[in-house]
Amino acid sequence: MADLNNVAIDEKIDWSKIEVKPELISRAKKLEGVNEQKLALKISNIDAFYGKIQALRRVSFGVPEGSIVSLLGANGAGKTTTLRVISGLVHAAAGKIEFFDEDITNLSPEKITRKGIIQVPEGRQVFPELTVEENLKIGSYSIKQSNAERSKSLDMIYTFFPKLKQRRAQVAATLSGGEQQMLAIGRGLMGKPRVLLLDEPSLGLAPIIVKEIFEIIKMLNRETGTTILLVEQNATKALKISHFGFVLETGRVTIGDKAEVLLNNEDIKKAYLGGGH
Amino acid sequence: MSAILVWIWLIIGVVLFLMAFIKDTPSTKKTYKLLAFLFVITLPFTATSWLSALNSALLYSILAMGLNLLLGNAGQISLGHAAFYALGAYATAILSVKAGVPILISIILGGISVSILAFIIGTPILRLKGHFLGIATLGLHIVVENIIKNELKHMFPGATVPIKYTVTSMVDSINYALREKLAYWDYVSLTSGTKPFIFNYLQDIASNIPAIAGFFITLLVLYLIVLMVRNLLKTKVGRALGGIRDSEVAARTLGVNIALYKNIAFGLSAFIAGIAGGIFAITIGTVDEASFMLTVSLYVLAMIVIGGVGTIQGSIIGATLYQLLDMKIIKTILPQKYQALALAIMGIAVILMIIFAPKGIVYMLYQFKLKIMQKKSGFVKK
Amino acid sequence: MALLEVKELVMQFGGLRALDNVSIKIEEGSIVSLIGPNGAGKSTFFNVVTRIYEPTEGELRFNGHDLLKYEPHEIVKLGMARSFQNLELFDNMTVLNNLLVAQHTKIKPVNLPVIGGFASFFSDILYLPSTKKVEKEATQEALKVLEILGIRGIENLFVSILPYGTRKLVELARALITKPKFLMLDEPAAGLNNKETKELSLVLRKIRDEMGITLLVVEHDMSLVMDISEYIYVLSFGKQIAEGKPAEVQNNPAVIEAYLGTEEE
Ligand SMILES: Nc1ncnc2c1ncn2[C@@H]1O[C@H](COP(=O)(O)OP(=O)(O)OP(=O)(O)O)[C@@H](O)[C@H]1O
Ligand SMILES: Nc1ncnc2c1ncn2[C@@H]1O[C@H](COP(=O)(O)OP(=O)(O)OP(=O)(O)O)[C@@H](O)[C@H]1O
Ligand SMILES: [Mg+2]
Ligand SMILES: [Mg+2]
Repeated sequence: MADLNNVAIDEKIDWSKIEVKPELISRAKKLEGVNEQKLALKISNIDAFYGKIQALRRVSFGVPEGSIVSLLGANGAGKTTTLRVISGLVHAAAGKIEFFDEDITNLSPEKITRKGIIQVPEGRQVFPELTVEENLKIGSYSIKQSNAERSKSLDMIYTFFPKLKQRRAQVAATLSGGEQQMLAIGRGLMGKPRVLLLDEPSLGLAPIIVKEIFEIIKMLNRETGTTILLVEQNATKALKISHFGFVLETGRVTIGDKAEVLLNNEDIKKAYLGGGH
Repeated sequence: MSAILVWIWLIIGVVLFLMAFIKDTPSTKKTYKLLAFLFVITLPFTATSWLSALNSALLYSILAMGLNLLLGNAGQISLGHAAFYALGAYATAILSVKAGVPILISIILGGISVSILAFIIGTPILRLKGHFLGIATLGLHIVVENIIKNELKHMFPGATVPIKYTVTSMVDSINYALREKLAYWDYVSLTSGTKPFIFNYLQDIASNIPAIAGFFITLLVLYLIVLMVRNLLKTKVGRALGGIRDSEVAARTLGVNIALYKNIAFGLSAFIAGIAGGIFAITIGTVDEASFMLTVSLYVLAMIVIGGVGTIQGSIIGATLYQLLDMKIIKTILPQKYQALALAIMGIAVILMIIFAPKGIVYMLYQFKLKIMQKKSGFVKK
Repeated sequence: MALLEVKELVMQFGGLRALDNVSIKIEEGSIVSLIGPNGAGKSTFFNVVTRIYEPTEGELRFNGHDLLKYEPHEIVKLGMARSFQNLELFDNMTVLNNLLVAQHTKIKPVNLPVIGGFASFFSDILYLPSTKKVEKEATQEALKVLEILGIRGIENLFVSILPYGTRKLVELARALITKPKFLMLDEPAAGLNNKETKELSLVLRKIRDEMGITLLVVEHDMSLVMDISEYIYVLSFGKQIAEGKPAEVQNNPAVIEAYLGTEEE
């Protein structure tokens, strides 16, 4: 059978220079400061397909407990697919996903959510016919919680996003795009995740709120120790709050390093960071 | 003898179908088309005891295609589709019996008048969405049922369409010729003591000529409607309906008059149901409300769900499988004393199918085909 | 004369004034942006102009026509097209079919007064040469637009399987193919990275310069807005809080406070 790593794909020229590092996991472990830390997520050699199309090829990387890790890459690189494989929405054809050393590869999405891995999907998939508050409450159904605790979580979300409080009784379908995005993030947080998978959280948010979102992510990580895997187009901002970053290119991980290092990497600057703002 | 022949034939049919589905390369397509054609036209001659089930499978395929156009392609529900089916049957009967319009023309006129009616009724009720539309169409069915009971029934007290207006009369001459031949052989055998070996077989056929003719007429109409729906779906109207189903707001902004096109979908699907009703009237020869009860709408809905929402193949596969299972297969397999359980078994079969192939058989087959293709190209490991 | 002229527009949802006395003028051939915080009323403005929402008060004139006299499905004929913030693609159709739906009003197999619609319908059902011809032309047209946007090759894929960024481009293609005079884009750069956003601004310029299409863009990515806009309107809580050239707006204290925030570096 053909070696999947050798299946021809169109490599973009800019990237041929970049050395492919296969064992990024051990690398992430070795990086200073995290020696003792466990890996919350260990992704090894994942292949994923949509029908005949191979979307992921031997994707491997690690997410240390308590860290923020950014996953970068161009349109169609496979970032969303990676998150969907982790949360069980897309079948992994090969490879292994471990959550604190426990094999969770291809478990059902409900089981994975119960374990505390929660995904905030791309493009705000809120329940359109439910109100803001109902949407938020649904987010907490994966955990056992008293009503008092639940309303405490609600309050927390409302302090993060005052706009949601104003619109709490409105059905989600008629919210503005940015309000829906806030709602999707809030709903994810209601489940008290151990690992939060965020797919483009800043999508459609006003610059002033984008800043707040990154602050919230940073704070959440620092205060509650929530591990965060972040997919973002706003690469500069994402790397600035992250500990590590990985770059996906046509379904493969091509680079992985500490965030500061990536921020200064010339190739990455050219491809993803641009002028920034 | 003929019972075994039927089974062999049906198995050949299924195998043929699966092969055609999986290997639809341009080079093999023609061959399979020819084989399928041969299979279908020989089918009624192998299966006289199955004819009524086969005919009703074809008829229901037409009905299902009409409803699927509305549900799968335009995204609008109707729970009272049997109403149009019934009206088509009555319209055909009235036109041919009372007004003396030739049978085939009265079927077409019946279909057209039902579709105009649906178009008009559609204007108010298609403003409703989802459950509400479901309930409104249910209400429509009840109204029509009452009209049948209180008005139309008096026009056909015996509920039967006289033979001269049915298919039976069309094949009279063939029937007569065959019977004459058989009688002659029978007479000759008195002296020679031998009958041609196909005598019994031909006798069987002769007694089923109207049903066989019904088979071919229904098949022809089904074929024409498949062509019509297929062309419709790949051109302007079909795409506009798909647009309404997937995003009303975008379709509107791009110039699709939503209200008009929903009406068109409703009208078209009623036209198809009306034609099916007309076929029913001239092949079965009775029009009474018992044949068009609310449950008919629900069966058709089940057929679409089993076969595959939004696909032509889905309508036909769903209807055929359902009717054959319901009218023949379960009853043949089940020992005599358990016959009463047939309906329950049918229910369980439907539930199982919905559990294991929730998107319908067509979708399941596509998945299966994809897997085979992946295996061939060496993609999937393990 | 302005291409689009909106006067004292009010849109009330229950107790909420999503648009409060908004007056906007867009000159033919310009690129104008509409910015403002989340929930400011930008998408609502699009929905009112495209007749999806009936405004509570106000006047809308487009190219000399009183917009309030038109139904939503008629605005495309006036030469208006838009994209949607939350992607309103036809997910269960291929990219090509999405672009064919967009040519709905242009596809006329039989072009006759009064009976044209009926005749076309029968031509379609029978798939006559007249249908074949228009279908082929429409397909060519679709491929041409995909070519312009650099996404030729995806025409036979189902939209639902495309990555987010590509879907955005398909929506742009679908609006462009209607050959509008005026194109309204709701967050075209969302989901694109910096490099892709730069490419998009080139494409948008080209759309204006080469096709002569007037653009109104809603966008939160300031690099794009400041790069392409000739004029900017700012909304906040439904009210117009500022307008002007990019440089003026960027330094307007009210805009910084309500929307941009202060740069941290
Ligand atoms: N349901 C699907 N069926 C088939 N192919 C798919 C499907 N979803 C995604 N793909 C393909 O898989 C590849 C990776 O897509 P993915 O959505 O993971 O990209 P992405 O990195 O998240 O891009 P973006 O930044 O635009 O969201 C793309 O080539 C895409 O076309
Ligand atoms: N149909 C409706 N019913 C009630 N409220 C609505 C409706 N549509 C919009 N709104 C409210 O009106 C306000 C304006 O919404 P709009 O979608 O126009 O915002 P926007 O400026 O596009 O914001 P964003 O940048 O987040 O997309 C929001 O607070 C929204 O919740
Ligand atoms: Mg993505
Ligand atoms: Mg908006």
